[in-house]
Amino acid sequence: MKSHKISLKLYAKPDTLPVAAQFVAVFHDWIKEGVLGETLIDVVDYGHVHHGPAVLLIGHESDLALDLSEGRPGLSYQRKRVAKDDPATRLGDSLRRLLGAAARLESDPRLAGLGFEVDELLLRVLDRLHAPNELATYESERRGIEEALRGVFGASAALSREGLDPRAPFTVRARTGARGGARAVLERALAS
Amino acid sequence: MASWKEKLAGATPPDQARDIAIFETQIALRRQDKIEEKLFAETRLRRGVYGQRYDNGERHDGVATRPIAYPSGELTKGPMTLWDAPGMQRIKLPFGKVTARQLEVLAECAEEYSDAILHVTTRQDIQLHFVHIDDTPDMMRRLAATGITTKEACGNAVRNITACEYAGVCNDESFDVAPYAHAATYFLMGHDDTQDFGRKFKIAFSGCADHPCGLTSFHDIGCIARVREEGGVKRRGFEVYVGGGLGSVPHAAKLLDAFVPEVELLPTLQAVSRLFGRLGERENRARARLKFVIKKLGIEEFTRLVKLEREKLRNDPRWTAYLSDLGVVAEAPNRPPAPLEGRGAPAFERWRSTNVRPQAQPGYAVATVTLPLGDLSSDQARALADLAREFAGDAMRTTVEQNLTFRWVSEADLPQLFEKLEAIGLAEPGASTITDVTSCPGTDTCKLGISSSRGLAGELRRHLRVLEDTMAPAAKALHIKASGCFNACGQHHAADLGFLGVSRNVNGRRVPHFQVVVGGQWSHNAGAYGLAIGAIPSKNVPEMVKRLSDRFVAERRGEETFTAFVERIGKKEIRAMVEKLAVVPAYEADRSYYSDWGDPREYSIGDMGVGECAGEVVPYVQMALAAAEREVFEAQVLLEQGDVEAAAGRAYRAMLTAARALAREREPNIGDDADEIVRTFQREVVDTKLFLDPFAGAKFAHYLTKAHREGGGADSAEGAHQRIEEAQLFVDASHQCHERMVKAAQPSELARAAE
Repeated sequence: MKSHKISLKLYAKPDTLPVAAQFVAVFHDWIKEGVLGETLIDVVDYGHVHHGPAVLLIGHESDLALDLSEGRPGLSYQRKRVAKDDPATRLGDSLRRLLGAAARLESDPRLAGLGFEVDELLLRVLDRLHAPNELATYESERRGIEEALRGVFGASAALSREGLDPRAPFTVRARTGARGGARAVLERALAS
Repeated sequence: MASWKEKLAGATPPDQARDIAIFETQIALRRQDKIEEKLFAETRLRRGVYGQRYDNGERHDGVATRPIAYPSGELTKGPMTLWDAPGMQRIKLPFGKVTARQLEVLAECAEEYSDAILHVTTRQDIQLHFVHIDDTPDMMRRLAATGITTKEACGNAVRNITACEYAGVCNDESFDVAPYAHAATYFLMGHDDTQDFGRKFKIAFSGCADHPCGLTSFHDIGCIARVREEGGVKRRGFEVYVGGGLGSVPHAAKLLDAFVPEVELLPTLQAVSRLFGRLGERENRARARLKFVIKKLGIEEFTRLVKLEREKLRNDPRWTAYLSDLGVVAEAPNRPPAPLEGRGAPAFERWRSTNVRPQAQPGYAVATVTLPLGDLSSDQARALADLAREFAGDAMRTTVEQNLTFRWVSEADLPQLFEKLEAIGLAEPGASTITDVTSCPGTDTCKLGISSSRGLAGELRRHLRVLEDTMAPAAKALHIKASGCFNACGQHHAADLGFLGVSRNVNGRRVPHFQVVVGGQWSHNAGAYGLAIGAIPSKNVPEMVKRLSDRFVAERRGEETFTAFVERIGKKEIRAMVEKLAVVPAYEADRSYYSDWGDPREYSIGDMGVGECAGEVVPYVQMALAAAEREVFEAQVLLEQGDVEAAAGRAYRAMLTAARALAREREPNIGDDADEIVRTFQREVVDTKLFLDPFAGAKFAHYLTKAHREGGGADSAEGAHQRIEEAQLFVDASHQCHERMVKAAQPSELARAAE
């Protein structure tokens, strides 16, 4: 992937989402406990913004968000600046980080019942210079995206371009065909 | 395409492109430790690149303060401000105008460099948070390509010039003040006479005296539109007030002149700016605003000095050039005017009753988009841009109540606009009512925040929206504003009910509190300031609002305003109400009091840092000498690239920059022409022997005269190399000279100020 500014979203399973304030507490604890192995800075509550990033965990390398965009709650991982960044592996690495965070949330007792769908994924590249939202970008990135998804989910994913508005970020929806929870996918990916 | 710099090369205005390139060079120099951190801090602040909470590398996690491991290590972008720490980017929107295309680019920048949220401030700016300094030059380029600047958005400079969002379409205005605010913005931005301030400087325009949209009373300069008839001819002008301000010591602006004719507006602003640069406090930052100069001198003496200064100004064609094109910022409607027939659905009518106001132009209306806490997402911003194109004049205005307005909406289109706003979650009614709570960033992101003003504002919104349907109209009309600290960015003094964040120690534990401020007036351009009655725990503020508003409704006499009600029942009565809610339960009984709104960490003030509101006091001459040094560096780079002519020219330019800076210390009216700079420098700095080096004599001064005589160029790499070396020596000598000038001036400083 040409750009490192990757944003990935996993959708929450219907009716499993606890109130946003619970995420505020969990994310604060993640900073305190240094659980993600990267520099974490702050938690921001944007719960008042309609279909916005309701709760953000701000980091130096990346941000995580309880993401209510599209009217579909989910967990977003956004890669911002990573010291050791290899274009060939950055998407796979981002996927593993997203799944790791999702698995951690699924197992937090304060968020009891929370689950994420692993058969669907939204990929956005927040970099209009290197990844304008156009067909040419899709054609040049498609193979790399498919390979990275196969590397993590273990099977071919069906891709489709989303949101053809040229002002919007380059966006691809993937149907991974995966089953189970985030932890299961992650463990399988790490084992392979 | 390799970079935004290349992609936007033809699209960015040349002066802004140059300015951003300079900033990029300064970033590179700071990374190499070639610019002192204090100087760099003021440099970035003047580009709107502001610090944010935790940028000193520490954060209190509710138990203890722990380090944040920013990868940049010790590298700083200002005193106690670490390089990799995310910061805030303030973006100026003069008089709040933002076009559809600009809003789209702001949305892109928020998405790519920030957290996908645009925040509207109480001074009509947009702020993006969690921005890395390395991303700022590209962001500035993208904004500049659509006509937006961040120049002087922070720091000791003229900040965003604000004006009523209804300017040009208001039924009560004398005339449209927007073109004057626009002219003042670009006249004062980067002007020599606004570069030597000890603190920030805020200017506001209002179309009338009665309404609050301009808030001229608490600005350093407030201009209210007036029309005077002389000899049967109507003349435009401004009632000009000076020395207003909020902060810990609020001052109401005083009348400078009841009628400044429009042709005299810009020279008057320039004269006041120049006086502030000369007489403003430097050492004590807490007393460095214009209000303290006026308090010290008295308004009569200050007025006399302004008139004297005005006479000394060198004529500038820009003072009046803009008057021939006052339509420069006007918007044209997209649709023909049409009345709205009949009544719509209840939700629409409810929204219409608070968020729609008829324009002066029949058949058109202004529709306000209520933004919760001033925030909107990038997706919402793009959708609003579409609506601006469809329904309004391709533009919107931000408001000092942290909302957005569509102007030129054909009244018949209002139901359709409402429907489309509903679809993006922005059709909330209650604009400018009790639920539309204004707040500064507070502890969410501000280094100075003591209590969570945004957390409180969010809670009050939730709380009051539930009660709204049963509220009396008088209570609904109240204004609530919250500030996270005494600096009053939430403008709490000018609200019916204001809240000011403080901290209290209860049995050895910190508890977030808010001072309750009553008696302020939002109307009449913030005509009166409230006073703090007493502090209550943050968690009791919603109950305080309920009790006060209930009592107001129950005991109100006729059409009595809340300010009048407070005055009638007396602050002692309100103090008694406050005291009943001042009690904090024991920690063991209710721990919620020991955390702030929206933040589960146990409350602490350990995260407070050193604010950058005040900027760093770096005199103009020091900034200019730093610019000269940068130009020498750029000359070296150009020579490395093989551009001999440009390298020599840049080195010559560096000498001119330094010479002008020194000469301006003695001749404030100096222009930009090279002949004039060299001549004035010779007369004021060389002939007076100030530039003479104790060992080298006039040698370094000759480098400038020689380069000037030769036209600045060079015909060989050796020649350019020599010119760069000479320029470096000249700039070094200029620093020495400046030190001698400072020493020589010290005994006479007070006498000079008194002149």
